[in-house]
Formats: sequence, structure tokens, C-alpha cells
Amino acid sequence: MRAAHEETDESLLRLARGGNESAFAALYGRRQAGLYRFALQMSGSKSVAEDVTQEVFMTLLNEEIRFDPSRGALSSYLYGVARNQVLRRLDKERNFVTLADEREEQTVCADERQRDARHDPLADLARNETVETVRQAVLALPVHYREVIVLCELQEMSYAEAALALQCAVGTVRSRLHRARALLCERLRAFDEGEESAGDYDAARCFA
Amino acid sequence: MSCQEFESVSTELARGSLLDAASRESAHAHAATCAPCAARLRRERALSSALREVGASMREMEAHARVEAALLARLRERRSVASTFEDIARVGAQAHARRDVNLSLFAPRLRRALFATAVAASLLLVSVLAWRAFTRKETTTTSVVPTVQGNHVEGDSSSQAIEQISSQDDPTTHDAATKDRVTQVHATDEVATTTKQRTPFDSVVRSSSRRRAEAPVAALPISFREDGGRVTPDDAGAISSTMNAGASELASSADFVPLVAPDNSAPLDGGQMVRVEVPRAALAALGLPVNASRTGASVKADVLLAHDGTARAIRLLP
Repeated sequence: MRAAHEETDESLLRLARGGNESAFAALYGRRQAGLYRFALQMSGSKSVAEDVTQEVFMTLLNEEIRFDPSRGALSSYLYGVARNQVLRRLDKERNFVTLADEREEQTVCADERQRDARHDPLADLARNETVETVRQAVLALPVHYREVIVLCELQEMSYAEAALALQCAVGTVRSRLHRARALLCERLRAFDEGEESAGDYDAARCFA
Repeated sequence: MSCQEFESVSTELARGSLLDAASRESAHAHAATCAPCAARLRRERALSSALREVGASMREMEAHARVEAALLARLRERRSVASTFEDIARVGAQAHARRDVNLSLFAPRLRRALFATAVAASLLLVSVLAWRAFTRKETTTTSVVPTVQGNHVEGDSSSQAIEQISSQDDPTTHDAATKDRVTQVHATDEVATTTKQRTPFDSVVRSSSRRRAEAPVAALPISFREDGGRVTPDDAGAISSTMNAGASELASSADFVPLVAPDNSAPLDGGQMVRVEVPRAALAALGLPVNASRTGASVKADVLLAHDGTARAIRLLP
């Protein structure tokens, strides 16, 4: 047997399903972080992300795995399973994810903050705020826009890979991404304007 | 390039994924001359930069180690189960090769064997618990170990099934002649008391009372005595004479109903008594009064057996 890092995902999967623990560990080590981050970026919850990651790899151990190598790479299949798991959980917890309005109050335009950060001693803090703001804005997107943003932008997948994971056409991914970015930019700008007006109000109150 | 065309490629342009060099040049040229499209391109680039930063900030995040531990545990468990099935299949295949086992029957046989083992284990457990409960009770009521002609009775379920109702020192045995006849069996009052106690084994030994009647202890000659006013045979001779006198007389004195047949009218000079369950229908066939609506049920009864094993009398129990 070759070293685990030289094996393809598919051969590691075959070995793992045969009971090879090191092959399973190698496959897990190779794919778990991306899947965990995808679930985290989609749900905003670490516990959900952990559950989803575990479920995805549990699926690989089940007898009725439906992975077909001729239809795409294993990684796309894993993201597809992860997506289904996330959507299932989001559907269950829909009533509990209603914090978007509160997040919007704190959101500022990303590029403005980055520009300020270059000249501000609190650059790191501002950058962290920017990152958090954008993350929350992504979480506030509708699911079908959110998933293309996460896959294509945060996970840096190609359109083709994302299309395989989402079980849709490449053109659909492209158009969704375009609309998702437009919506995200619009929201971030709206958040920024909202914060500026809130800042004016605070200043007026301070000087009153 | 028009503004509409610019908008369609602005995302790819900002992301740096517009591979067509001609389109890229054309888009840049349009942005240089169109302020709104230039602003759009700036926003798109800023957004791409922010999203990259978000992605980079989470790049080190990964699932907790407990997730991997749980998965590996699951894998080991699955491997263990698979190994068990492989072992069963291998053993079955080997047996099949030796023609010891019909492979097609292997699984049902295995299931039956497991079931039988479970039933046997359950019965053994119940028996042990019942025996322990019984011996505990016996210890609290008597300190004398009963013996019958040197045989240790304690723990002997067959001897408990057969009522050994005899005592040389029995205060209720007043007749000297009767005493002489009962000297064949040596036991104390405690023996009689103990052996008359209903035991948890009654239901078990009842079903095989015939087999026990042939056992050495069961073959001992015994006699009977009165038991505190409750109707029991006093002694073999008395019983025999009473039985021979007629059923009505016996029923009034001892509740024993003689089972008189043409060939067993010989005097009863001893025997054994066993406790059994008798179908009501069988009692009705003997001419005994039974509740007609419950002929399908059984009643408990003591049956007096002669030395030759024939049933000579029966006493119904409440």
C-alpha cells in the first residue's frame, strides 16, 4: 500500500470501508476541515458544524452509500451530503435563526473598514469587525445564495465543483453567485449607512 | 462594451476569474470611461477582498478531536461486527466443506440453539432463585436436618414432592399398633412439618411425579398421620380399612376418595402420596362432582399410590 497522502480520496474510501483505520483517518484528515468550515459558514453554529461533519463521515461507513465515482469527485459528494445535512438542520431550527436584524445594526461596508484599517492603530480590531460583519451578512442571505457564496468565495471552489456539490448546472451557480454578491454588497452598504447615521446620533447625544 | 455587458462580467472580473483576455481588456476599458461601472467594479473588488478575508480567518478552523474519536470508534465497532459475521461465515463454510452442517440450515439452527440456551439459562436462574428462597425459609423454621432411612432429604426435590408424613414421636399418633407400623420411617416432627411445606418446586416436580415414584426414596414404605385436624391419612392400615369401607365414609373423615378398581381391592399396607394436577374432566370421568363450566381447568390433588404404583385414593385440594 502506498502512503496515505499519495492515495486518492476514492482509494482511501475503499480501504476505509474495508475496515482500514489509517485510511479512514487519512481521508478524514484530508476533508474534515473544509466540510466543518462549510457547515459552520452555512449555519453559524459550531455544534451544528461538528454534528454535520460527523454525519458526513458516518455516511461513508454506512452500507447504503450512494457515491458513484463516475459522476464526480468524492469531495463534491461529501459537500453534497454536508449541504443536505445543514439544510435539514436549518429547516428544523428556522425559528431560532432570527438574529439578522441585530447583526445588521453592527454591519459596515467592508471596503471602507479595510481602507480605514491601513491608517488606524486599531487596524486589527477593525479588520476583525469587518470579518465578523461580512460573516454575519453572509449568514443572513437566503440559503440558496448563501451556499454559492460559501462554496465559491469562502471555500474557493470552481463553478464546476460547486455545481457538483449543489447538484445543479454551472450556469445556475454563476447566476446565483452574481445575484448573491449583488445582494450582499447592497446589504453591506445599507448596514454601513445605518451605522453612519447611528454614529451621528451618538455624537449628537454626546455633545448635547 | 455596454454597461449591461459590463455588469454580466463584473463578478468574474472582480474575482479574477475572467479568463478571456479580450473580455478582460474590454471591461477595463469600459470602466475607465464609465463612472457608475467603475464604482460597481470597486464595490465588487472590495466585496471579494472582504470575503477572502473571512475565508482566511476561518482557514485554521476544524472539527474537534472528539468527532474523529467518535468516528473511529464507530469504524472499530463496524469492523468488529463484520469480523463476527466473517467468522460465522467461515465456520459455516468449513462445516459445509466437511459436510457436517447443511449451510442453508445454519442460520435457523444457530437461532434455535441461541433460543434454547436462553430458555435453559432462564430456567436455571429461576430454579436457583427459588431454591435459595426455599432453603432460606426452611432454615428459619427448622434446625433439624430431616433424614429418611439415612438418606439426606434436604434439598431433595423429589422427597419434597412426596409427602413423607410420618413420625415415631408424633404426639398425634396415639395408637401403639399404629406406632409399630410407622417405625419403618424415621423422622422428626420437623421433618413432617418441613416436608409438608409447599415448595416452589411443586409445579416442577408435579409433571414428573411418575418418574419420581420409581426413585429409591419414593419407594420407601410410608404411613400417614393426622395433620392438626386437617384431613390427612392417619396411617396406612386405617386408610386402607376406611377406603375399603366406602367412599362416603372416607370422604367424611379424610376427604380421600378411594379409586376402587376390580384389580386393586387388596388392603393397602403402605405406599406413597404424590401431589398432582388433575384435569377436571378426568375427575368427572371418575364420577366425582365437578363444576361443569370449568371442565377444561385442572385441580390440585394428592394421590395415594400403592407399592405397585397404582392409584388407590385421591384427595382434592382447595
